[in-house]
Amino acid sequence: MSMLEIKNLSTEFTTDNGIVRAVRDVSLHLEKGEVLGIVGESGSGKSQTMFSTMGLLSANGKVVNGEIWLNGKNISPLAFKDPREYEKTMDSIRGNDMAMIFQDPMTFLNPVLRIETQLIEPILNHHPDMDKKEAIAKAIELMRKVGIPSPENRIRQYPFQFSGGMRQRIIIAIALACDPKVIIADEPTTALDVTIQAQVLELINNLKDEIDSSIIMITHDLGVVASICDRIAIMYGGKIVETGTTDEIFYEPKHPYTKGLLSCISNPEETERKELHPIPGSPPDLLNIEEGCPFADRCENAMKVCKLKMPECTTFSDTHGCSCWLQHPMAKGKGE
Amino acid sequence: MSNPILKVTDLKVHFPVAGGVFSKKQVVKAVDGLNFEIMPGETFGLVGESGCGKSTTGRAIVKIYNPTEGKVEFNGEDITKIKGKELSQFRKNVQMIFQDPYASLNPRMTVGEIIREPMDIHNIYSTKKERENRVRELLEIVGLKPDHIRRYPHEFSGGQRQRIGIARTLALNPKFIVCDEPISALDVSIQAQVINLLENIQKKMDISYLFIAHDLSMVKHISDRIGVMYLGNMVEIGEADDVYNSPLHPYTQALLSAVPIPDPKVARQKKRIVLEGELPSPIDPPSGCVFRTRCPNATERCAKEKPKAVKVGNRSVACFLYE
Amino acid sequence: MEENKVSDITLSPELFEKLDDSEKNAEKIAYESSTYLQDAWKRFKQNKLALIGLIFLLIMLVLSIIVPIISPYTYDGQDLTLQHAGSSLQHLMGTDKFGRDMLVRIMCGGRISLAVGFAAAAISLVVGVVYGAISGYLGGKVDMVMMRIVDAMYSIPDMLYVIMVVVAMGANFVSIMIGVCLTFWMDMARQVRTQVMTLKEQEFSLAAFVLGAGKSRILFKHLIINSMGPIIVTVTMIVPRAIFYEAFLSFLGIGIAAPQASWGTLANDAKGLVSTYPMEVIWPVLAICLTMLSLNFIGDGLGDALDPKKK
Repeated sequence: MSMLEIKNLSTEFTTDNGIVRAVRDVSLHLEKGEVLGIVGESGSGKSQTMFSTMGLLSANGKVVNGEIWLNGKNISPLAFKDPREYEKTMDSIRGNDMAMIFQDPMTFLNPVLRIETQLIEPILNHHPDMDKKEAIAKAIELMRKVGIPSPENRIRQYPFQFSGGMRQRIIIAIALACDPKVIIADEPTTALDVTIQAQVLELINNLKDEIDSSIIMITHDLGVVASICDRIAIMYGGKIVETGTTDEIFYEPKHPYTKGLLSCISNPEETERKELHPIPGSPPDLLNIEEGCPFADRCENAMKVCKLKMPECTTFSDTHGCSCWLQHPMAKGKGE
Repeated sequence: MSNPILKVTDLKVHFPVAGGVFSKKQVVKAVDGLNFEIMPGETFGLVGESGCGKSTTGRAIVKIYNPTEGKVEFNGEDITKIKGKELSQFRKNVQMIFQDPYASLNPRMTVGEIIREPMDIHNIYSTKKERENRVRELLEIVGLKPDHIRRYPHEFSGGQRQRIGIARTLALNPKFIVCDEPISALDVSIQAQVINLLENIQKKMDISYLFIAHDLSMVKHISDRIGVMYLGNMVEIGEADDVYNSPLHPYTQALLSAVPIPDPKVARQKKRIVLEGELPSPIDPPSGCVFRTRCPNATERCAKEKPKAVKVGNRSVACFLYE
Repeated sequence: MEENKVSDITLSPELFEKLDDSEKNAEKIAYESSTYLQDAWKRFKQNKLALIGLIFLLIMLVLSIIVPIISPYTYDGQDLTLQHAGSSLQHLMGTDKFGRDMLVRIMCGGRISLAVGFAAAAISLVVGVVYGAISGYLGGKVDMVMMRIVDAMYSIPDMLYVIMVVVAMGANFVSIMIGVCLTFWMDMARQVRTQVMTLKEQEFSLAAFVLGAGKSRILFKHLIINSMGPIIVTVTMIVPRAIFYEAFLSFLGIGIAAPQASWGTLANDAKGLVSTYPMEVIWPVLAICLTMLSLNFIGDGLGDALDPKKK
């Protein structure tokens, strides 16, 4: 059984200008001990998929369809009759079964509380039998685990006394505090400098073998997923267009968008200077978006059918699948 | 060999920190003694992590900040003290593209007004009609539809806005453009569009770029030469390929090893040099070589003397290892 | 739009023909083109209280202009045979102790009160915006001196100014307005200064600077225009405060001189009669309260509608 399974999730936002269909019929699964990368550009719905899962949608957002199975329990808001009961369930799930790491650590850390207070709170919540002293000992151990030097002293400090990279480590320590089954990391390294990003990625890479949590890594950076993810899902226009193992995505991409993404990034390891092939146009606005493949307007191989209907998912292996009309038998020979 | 279009000599930009009444006045040494040259038609990439002073350098060149010391020469003329007509001429020649496409366009002006503004300021065309035609032409150059002219910036996506910003810059036919992280706020699929656009413009209009960025892979792609900065100092300058293939300065080595590689097989095997410690404060930088506190090869000498840039082949590197 | 709803289509070979570039719309803009003010109005309309406030204020404005013109009575026309009359068809709000028509007097009072409010706001707007913008834009020593002056003036209680000016210049419309403005322009100046200081570091004003724009161009075309939201909100908050100050002064007896009357003087005149003829106090007080309330609602609504961050 999967650790987390999302089936046909759709999320909508009501705005002044109309309805934004941010997540459209997304299905995902996450296995035990696995690192899944969700790659997409801003507005592709990658973060909103996870916010829907965690029950963190803003007030104008609403899950309109789908099931979210965490460890055999459906935690989609649609599965609860009473919204208060949903909130209560999610409160106990967040921080116990699922933890989230945000892009900007300062939105998550309370600037006027010592790190100690913020770290032992989730520990005490998770282990009600522990006393404060034991919790502090565990907090110090966690800080050491995420590579914060001299944690005995630094635990008494306030968030502003830490650098960006160190703050992100503290967030990771807080996320680990209650041994969550699923950790969702939303662009955890985007705000950091390259060398600090490398440190944090190294940390996540080392931790994933030590802990038995499954990790979902949301990012726009293909370089980040290449080094630490087992599987990757590519999102575009609120939909998952391709999913596969890291090698399948990088070496045998099937969807024109995946191919496009790979050919418009430059790889500094290559000695030859290749020309970049950008994808023309701009990402679609999910406001009042029409039926059909969201990528059709920017796709070189777009066909008439692409504008009319979203293609079914074609599978190539147990792990590799892609939603594109080019894979349809009737499209043989097109788009090569 | 032709003369450099831009020459920066010993540039220092220090900012006073507002201290309390009783505390000593302190300065942030954002840029502390920078030397480099940019040739006509060349793209010079300036890389480094946040707080290294790369953006300050760019802003000092376009005179948003006044240098504390040193010279910035454009076409052989020192521009740090120019005024009046000369300044106005300099403005026409040297322009800047900004980082944040959401903040760099005035939200209350239409796209047409934004792109027309430089022509209004410098009185380039006599009639409004001519200016408007030029605006339409510029919109087409950057790949937008001329009928977008009456729309407001907030209706566009990030990539489209950045192209509007580029169109505004081109309105004055500049010879030199400072690109201050022009792609770091954009989506991956859009970054390549902007890079290609900048390259095409360069070919057509023979413009030189100072390309400031922290994304090293894109900088390598667009730049002819690269300068690496650390804490207000230039640590290494060289041809883009040379710097990437065999970095000399210990900081450049660490920085490059940290770049994530979009190729899983390579990425899994890659050894990273992980730097110890954190970036020192630019208010009180380390004595001698500013990198010594984190350098794996630091010696006693590094604390005493500041290394001068030495030539290694056609490269220059500020480190005692290469003397 | 109809064809987009198609969910069951039969796949045929022609559907798999390549799409022509002209059929793609890769640079589509999903938003309707709209200006800032159109957007703001759209958001303002959604705030029902603010809308009611606006309608009430407009009615009040129109009535205070029209009623004294079309009414057969004048504000000082006495009818000693009809003192303290209650509401009737001839006198909708009754009459006062000299038999003057209350409706006309209230509406004439409204003219004065509203005029004081709007004139004070307009003067504070001009003075405050110019002062604040210069201080914020130039920064450094100039800013320090200009702001210390404001701080010094701020340390004197508002009412003291107003009373001093009114006593020195005599109680009339102009002196009250000057007194009120002396205190309110400072709020505006501070507000504008903070706005300008943040906006001048924004990339669009740096861009204008690099393009070679002069100081006044940057100040007016870029900085002040983008501060319009908070400026308008501050103005709508100044109007009710000015009306209140005027009413307060008149109530103390140092406001508009008789036989002219503002809402404050009307309330003052009738205050001794509160137990015998309560309506004569209630009408002007009601006018003040409702006007202030609607102005405050409008201010709130504008604050939400003009704040781009809430979009």
